[in-house]
Amino acid sequence: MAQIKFILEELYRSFWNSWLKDILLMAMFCTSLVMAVLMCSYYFDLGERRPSQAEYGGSTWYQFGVSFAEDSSQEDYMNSLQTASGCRNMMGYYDALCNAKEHPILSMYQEPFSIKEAHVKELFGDRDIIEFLQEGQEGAVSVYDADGSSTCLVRNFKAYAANLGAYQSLGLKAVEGEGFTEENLGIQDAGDGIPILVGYGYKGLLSVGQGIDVKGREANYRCRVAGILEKGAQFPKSDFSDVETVSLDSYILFPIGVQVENEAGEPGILQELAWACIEALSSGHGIIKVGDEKELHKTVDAVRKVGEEFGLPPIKIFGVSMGLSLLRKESAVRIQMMMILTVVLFCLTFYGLFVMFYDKVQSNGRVYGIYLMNGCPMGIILVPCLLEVALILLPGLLVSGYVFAIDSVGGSGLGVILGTAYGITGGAFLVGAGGVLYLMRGVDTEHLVRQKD
Amino acid sequence: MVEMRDIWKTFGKKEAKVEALRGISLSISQGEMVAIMGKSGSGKSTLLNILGGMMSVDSGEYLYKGRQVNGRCQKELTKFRRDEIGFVVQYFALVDDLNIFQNVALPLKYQGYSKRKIQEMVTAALRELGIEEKANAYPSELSGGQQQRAAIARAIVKQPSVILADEPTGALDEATGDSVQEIFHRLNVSGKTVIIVTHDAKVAGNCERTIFLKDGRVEKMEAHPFQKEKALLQIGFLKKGEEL
Amino acid sequence: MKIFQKRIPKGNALLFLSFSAISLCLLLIVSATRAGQENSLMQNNIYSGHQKNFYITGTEENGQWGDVIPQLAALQKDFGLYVSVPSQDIPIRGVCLQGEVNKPPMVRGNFFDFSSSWTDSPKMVLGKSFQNEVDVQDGSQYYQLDGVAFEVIGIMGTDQDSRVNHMIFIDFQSAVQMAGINTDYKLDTQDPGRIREVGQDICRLFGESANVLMILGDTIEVPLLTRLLSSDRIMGTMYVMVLASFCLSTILVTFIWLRFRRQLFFSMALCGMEKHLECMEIFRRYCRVAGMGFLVGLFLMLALSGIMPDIRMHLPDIFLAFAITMGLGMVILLFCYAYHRSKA
Repeated sequence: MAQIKFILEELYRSFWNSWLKDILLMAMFCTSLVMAVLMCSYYFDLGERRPSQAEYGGSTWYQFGVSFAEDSSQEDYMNSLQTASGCRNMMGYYDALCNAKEHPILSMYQEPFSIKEAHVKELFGDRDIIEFLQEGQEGAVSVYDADGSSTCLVRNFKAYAANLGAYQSLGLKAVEGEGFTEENLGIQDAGDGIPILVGYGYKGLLSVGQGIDVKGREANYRCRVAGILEKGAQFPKSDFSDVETVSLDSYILFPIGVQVENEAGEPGILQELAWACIEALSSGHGIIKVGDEKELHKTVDAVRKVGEEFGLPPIKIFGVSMGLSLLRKESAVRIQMMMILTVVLFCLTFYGLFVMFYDKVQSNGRVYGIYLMNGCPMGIILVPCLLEVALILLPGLLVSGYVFAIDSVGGSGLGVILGTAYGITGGAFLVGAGGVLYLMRGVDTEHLVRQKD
Repeated sequence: MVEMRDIWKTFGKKEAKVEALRGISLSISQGEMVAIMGKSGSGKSTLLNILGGMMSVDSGEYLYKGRQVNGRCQKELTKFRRDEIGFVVQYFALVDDLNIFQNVALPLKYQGYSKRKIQEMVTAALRELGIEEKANAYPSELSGGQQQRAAIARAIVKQPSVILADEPTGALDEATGDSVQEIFHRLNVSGKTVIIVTHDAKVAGNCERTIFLKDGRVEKMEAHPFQKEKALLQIGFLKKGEEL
Repeated sequence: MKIFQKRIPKGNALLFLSFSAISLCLLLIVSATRAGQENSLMQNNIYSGHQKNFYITGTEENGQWGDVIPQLAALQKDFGLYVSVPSQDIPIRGVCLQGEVNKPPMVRGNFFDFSSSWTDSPKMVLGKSFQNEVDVQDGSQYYQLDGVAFEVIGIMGTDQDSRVNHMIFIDFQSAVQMAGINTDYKLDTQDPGRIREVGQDICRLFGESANVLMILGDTIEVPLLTRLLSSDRIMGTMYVMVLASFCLSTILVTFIWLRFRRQLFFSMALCGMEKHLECMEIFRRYCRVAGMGFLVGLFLMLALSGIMPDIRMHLPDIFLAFAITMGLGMVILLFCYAYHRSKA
């Protein structure tokens, strides 16, 4: 008990004598630790946010997406819908992502196909089409027309949207007409009609080449039945990682990534197509091929470069580490520079810690000599020093824990992130403690007592 | 030359109040070599610091060459110390990172001396103290006696009128202490007033006069009229039979 | 410690390393900021990066902007409105600026301000690739565009070839005359937080007279720390953390350095050195070490830029980093010295 009291008193005395320096070191270590954890997470892929992968064609694919809640990316995408050039830029961006050699993307989402009631009657007459309609919306629904000023009655048909890559990867085939190809996904102008595929169940109801007028979000546009899918064609139910599939027999398949040749005046049809691209890039609607999982940062950087080329924020890949996710908008060079700064800061913190304790041990030498002379074991003198080192390092641990734990910055890999912080702090403590022990090595009582103040 | 009248100095407040000096009055003539003796806590070092302008007084008068020193501002005290006083302390107070030349040249820095003049003055001081060849060495490379000589060289490089020494031989062995004592005598003979604070009776006995302090007061004064001659004889300044 | 037979005073090594590190850090940050600005210029032309696109439809009156802009200028201190003018070869933009908005680097003259961008007389800022095509009349320079003589008020351009060198900016009224009011526009402000407000004002000022299609998005309240650690801001946050840490480390190192100067302080006091001379001596020693540290930091930075070609150093960056390093060092030394003296 007396020893504990002595230790605490010594700790208090030592801390009080150099409280300002201790606080400065604490602050430096806090910053160093947060940056070091971030950099380790980036370079060593520590702390997955949300592990979600898919296996397609023998390759590993990661889910990706952007959302309003997390950063301004989705708003930036939406903003591009306001002008024709912005829409084209968005479509070009999506196209570049789809066609990236090493990191192509596959996209799919589910969205009903709205056809005006009058046109439905024209297309299907009195035939029973309930199986093709969205569940729970078998009757006509009143909605605002694309011009936003009047309402109309529409029927919502079950539909999925998919890009060419998804169509090919899922092994879908058309038994009549043609499936999605690079050729038919590039149209001259809106009048040509956007090529769509219909499920086998539509055979006899719709024919290849038949035109369908669709009520879109911003504009009404024309589609053309390019082909009828084979019977029982399977499609993932919700997203690419879903093992459950549905049969496309009663579905319409809408293409994502259609390119329009001729310049359109108002955004109109371009907005619809660009919107499809934005939807495809939204959370969970796509997967991106990752070459080597150990080099995820290269994939992230490649995606960033595509974004930079089109002036749009890069997509966020899920399942990557916290560091890769947070730094996805930064170039590899800037991240390397930050790594250099982190290393320098860390080294400086340690050197400062060592020098401070060197000065402390030197100036308290006589006091230690007196303690030793009066029978105090060396270990008891060392413990307050070691505790002071721990005291300096502890706030860094608490701060980094708080920083990475709040609002899921650390994500589902928080345990790994905090483990990294603990590991680095532990290593720092060993170095600091080692430094103190080194300074106190070979202590000679008599020499210490003779030491002048 | 130095006159002190009823000097009082107190440290601390309330219960921790300590009266280091209580009504000290003394006078020291030019060219005198005086020792101030007393036990620990008698006020010796405080008195020396006041003499050197390092500390202010609470009350009383301190006159130097007829002019009042107490009551001067810090700037004036610094100037006084720089121009009139040479200070030597027990543990030498040399800067470890400067060589001996640089240490001795410290008082000359920024005083408008040319490099050549500084070289001349420092070399002269080192020569006088017999450590000219150690100019480029660092304090840690010298013995205690050599370090103290270097400290004395620094104290005299500007030719001050008064040398104040606080336990100059306290950290030295007897033989080395004697040689340092000899240096003080030589300086005294050259016309400098030397005031040494010591608890060593032998050191005090070698001075012309010893002032004994007890509990912040002058207890007594002892004169040693023939000490000067004896010391000069020892250092070879006087031949046997010659008088001062 | 001795180097070349000269003893290195205690604490100098730490101070030297600290200043090497801080100067390297500052050089990296200054270089990265410049590269970022240049990159931004290449990517966004003169836009901030958070500009909003919008479209006007449903009106034939080009002069409607004449009602809107004066009111907008009265309501908002800083904004930039840009309109694309259809052109075969040359990118032409009409611009209406007020206050603090991103401007391109100028070679000669000035870029637009409110009075020159919202004016009846045609005015223009040319990219430097066109500067030899101007006519000089009555002391002013003019450039012909679609039969209209525009007064050239400035030449813009960058050293490196960029889009800005091959662009033309004209005053807003002339641009709307050429492009028509029913076209797409860009709205920009320097502060991303203001853009929503300015956009809302534009929509409100047009009212029923035209359709203004602009998505402004909703403001989502997020905690400050989350915002600082978002992918949009993380790098800036880290730069600030690094700078703050290096400042703190310099304070710590300076305290330790001053502590190691105890002997010197005591000796100087013994020798009767005046306070201001003592101060000068301390500053001299400090600056010497700090200066050497900066040189080493500069050397390391040059080595880095040799290894990593994307990191480029410019002379103004070096001067700026030097000024900040030494300025910061002096301020910190002053603070620490004053603290030290107050405790002495």
